[in-house]
Amino acid sequence: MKTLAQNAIDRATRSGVSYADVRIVETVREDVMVRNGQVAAMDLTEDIGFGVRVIVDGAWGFASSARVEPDEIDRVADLAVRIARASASLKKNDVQLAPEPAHQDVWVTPYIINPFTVPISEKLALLKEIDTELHKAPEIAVSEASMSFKKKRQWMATSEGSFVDQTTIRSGGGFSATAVKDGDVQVRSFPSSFGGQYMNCGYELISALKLFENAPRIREEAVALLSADVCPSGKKDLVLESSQLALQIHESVAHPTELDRVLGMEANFAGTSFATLEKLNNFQYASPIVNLVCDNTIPGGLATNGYDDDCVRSQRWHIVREGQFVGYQHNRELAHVVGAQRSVGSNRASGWSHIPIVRNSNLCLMPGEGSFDDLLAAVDDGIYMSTNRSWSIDQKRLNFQFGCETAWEIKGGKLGKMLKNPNYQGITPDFWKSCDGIAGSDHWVLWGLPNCGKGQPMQTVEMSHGCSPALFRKVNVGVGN
Amino acid sequence: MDKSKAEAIIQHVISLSDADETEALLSHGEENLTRFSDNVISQNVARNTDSLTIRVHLGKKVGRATTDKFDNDSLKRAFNMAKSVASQQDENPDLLTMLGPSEFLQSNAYYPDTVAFSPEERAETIAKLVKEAARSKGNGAGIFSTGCESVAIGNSKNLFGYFQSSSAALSLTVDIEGASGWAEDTQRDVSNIDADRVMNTAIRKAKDAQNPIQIEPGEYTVVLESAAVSDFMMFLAYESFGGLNYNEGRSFLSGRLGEKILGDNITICDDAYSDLNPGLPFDFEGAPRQSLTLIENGIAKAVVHDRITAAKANTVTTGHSLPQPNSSGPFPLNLELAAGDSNLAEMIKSTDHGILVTHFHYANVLDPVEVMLTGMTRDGTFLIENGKISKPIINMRFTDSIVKAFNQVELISKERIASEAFFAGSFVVPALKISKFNFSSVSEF
Repeated sequence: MKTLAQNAIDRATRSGVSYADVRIVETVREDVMVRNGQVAAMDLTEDIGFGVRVIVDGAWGFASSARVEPDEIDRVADLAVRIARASASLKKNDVQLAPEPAHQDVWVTPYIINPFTVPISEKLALLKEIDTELHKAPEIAVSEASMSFKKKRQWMATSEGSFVDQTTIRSGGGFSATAVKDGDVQVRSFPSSFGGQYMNCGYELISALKLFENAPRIREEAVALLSADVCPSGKKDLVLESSQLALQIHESVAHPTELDRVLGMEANFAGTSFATLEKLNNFQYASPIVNLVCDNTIPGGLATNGYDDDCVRSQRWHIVREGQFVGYQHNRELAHVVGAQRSVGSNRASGWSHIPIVRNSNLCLMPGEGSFDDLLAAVDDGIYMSTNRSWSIDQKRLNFQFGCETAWEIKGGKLGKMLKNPNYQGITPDFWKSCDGIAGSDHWVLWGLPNCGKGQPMQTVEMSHGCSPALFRKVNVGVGN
Repeated sequence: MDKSKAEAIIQHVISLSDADETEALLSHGEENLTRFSDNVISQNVARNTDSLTIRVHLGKKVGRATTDKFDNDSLKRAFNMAKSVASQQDENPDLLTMLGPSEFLQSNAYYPDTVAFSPEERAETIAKLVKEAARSKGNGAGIFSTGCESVAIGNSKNLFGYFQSSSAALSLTVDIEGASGWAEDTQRDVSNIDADRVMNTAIRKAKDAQNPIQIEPGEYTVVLESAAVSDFMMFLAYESFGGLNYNEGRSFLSGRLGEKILGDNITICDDAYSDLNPGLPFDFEGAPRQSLTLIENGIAKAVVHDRITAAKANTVTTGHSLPQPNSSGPFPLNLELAAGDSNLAEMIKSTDHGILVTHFHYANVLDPVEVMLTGMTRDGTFLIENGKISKPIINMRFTDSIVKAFNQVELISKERIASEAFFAGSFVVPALKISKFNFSSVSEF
């Protein structure tokens, strides 16, 4: 692969590029799902291809192909150069890449059990056990239990002398139970919605999740929601369970601090950002107890790797420190805009066929102190919401509204009755400034999000967000109920 | 990928097989896309992707594997992977045998000049757009893309189907002093892209959007341009019109076929043979795709089925299967909302107090049965007073049921376009005027 990669660099260099890189990416996936007692997915997928990215006359060009062969590499390199020349016909400034040392390295996700060596029959057996357990209540119309595993190996070479051979291994699993009665549809998922929990690690994740052990509780909660009261409307103190809070972090802090959005590069699709350049180091994003840190070195994170797709070494840095807005996620192309001498390493592509763009890192809310019960004790009249059911936020990432699978009222510092159809709405900085409590590190979980979409053409990449449950004061809940 | 090459690859897969039944589903895509922002080209890419999924039946067991390599060794490897998966499963007594051959209607959806459209030609069009945006003191951002897709399916029972389509999209957002306007054109044939209309509409909306006022949330008469309506159709496709959701009681149509559920003026079809949005003439198990009326004058007439959901509903497939097996059930890929006899100007003129929406951002589902959605307006939201657009307004969030809204449609435009929803999918939609549509909160811009 190194020779093929070098051939692409050589071919592009002979065409007069000022920079070139090539990524050859091989991906293997295994997706297994049991639904209502039947195998609904049992897919093995293998995929390999390459993408060539060049700068010619100060502008980018990119081309890709599934045929990793010498003649195709020449054709694609030439096409990338031609496309870059077309880009150069409409530019203001030349692309400036922040300096980065040349890296020669091999990097592999640490894991204990290679998930691809575990027999499919063993995986199906566990999923069928869970499925059977979920169906022990007649109200359960749909049960789904799934696992997903991915191994991605990337060989990346640059015209600056880097060559990195990097392998990431990702595992995931979870289940859901949907109860239906008289036109009411209620769902409970474990350990999170939309497929469960995902981490960069091996099959050891599956046993750690204790999936089967939680199936009876989830089944009963789904059934109980059918007869639960509807979440009331109004301003309430709100405690968020950590998987829901992870998505809140994703939508209202991670995306608005992607520098390409701030600069308008996503204006036509994913949107821009309220976190504009003049606010950096000059804006209270959250209450002083809030510290939000990007960490692409943290074990298990879906954005954890040795290098990003600019071949920049993975790093850790603050976005919000003690409530103040202090950092962006950026890449080699945009680092200079905020006066950075080096990229923070947030440039990633969805496989070989896409150009890398600025993507969310593993942005985490640092834990506070105390227990979950301590958080509840600080609430006289409030709502505790758990597990995301829907999300929506405007294109500057200000007005958001999230729906959750379930909630419980909080009365006098204790959890009370279950509530269905909970949702809450807010304005990003107001919401984060209302944060009045964060549980301690015993409750901190790193949640994997495997389905973040951005860019045109749409690219789906993965990242994680870690947090403990947290308390927010006087939030607008029960919209439309 | 042309038909003969696709057929040769599929036949090669079948010739390798010693399984009881074998199916090959092949797709090839080419996507060439120039992206621009701040009036310059910011990204410029060419993608070329392949996928071949082999499904095998060993008695009552099924296995599936996918590769993007079509050489003999790769195909053998993928076939053996699928066979290995099947052999590790329990028997499924309900497994359906693969389908035999059918005749498939062919729509004209492929235009070679669209596929050959060059990066230089895209750059030339974009240069014209952003020059005009700059002349209006605006920043233009958007995409110009062209490409094609081929899909072929074949199996060991002599079924073979092939469909090739091209596509082109020009989308433009113009920002002037922090207020934006947007317009888009999607076509099968790039020569039909109306760049001047896109440019003039986006710039006009951005100019008209200056200095927006804030209005109170609440119920308003709303005039939705076609692009906004397409988001509603996407969620109806996902939540309501599939046979699996119907069978499981998760659709507002469940158990209510024959009942009047929506307004008299609402007729919804799924039509893969429409001139405006032609699509695949077969589904992903090789059944011919039927044109189907789902809602007729407000009366629930049908949902789409694959063979599995059809059997459970005591009916026959409508040709809307996704690749089998799957967890999503059948899916309508070509939804159309029937035209009325009105137009956007008449809708505005007949409104005393209401809101005009250009399109929505990031809508999502709160309640799947009532199709209760929430989402934000963007890129041109205006107050209508006394039959005229009076002022731009700060973007608002709606939270409302589409089932309820489609009982309150006052006017439907005669003109319809194929419009893409925010997340995915293309739908043939008119503009709508709807009464008592609920806006639940406001943003800050």
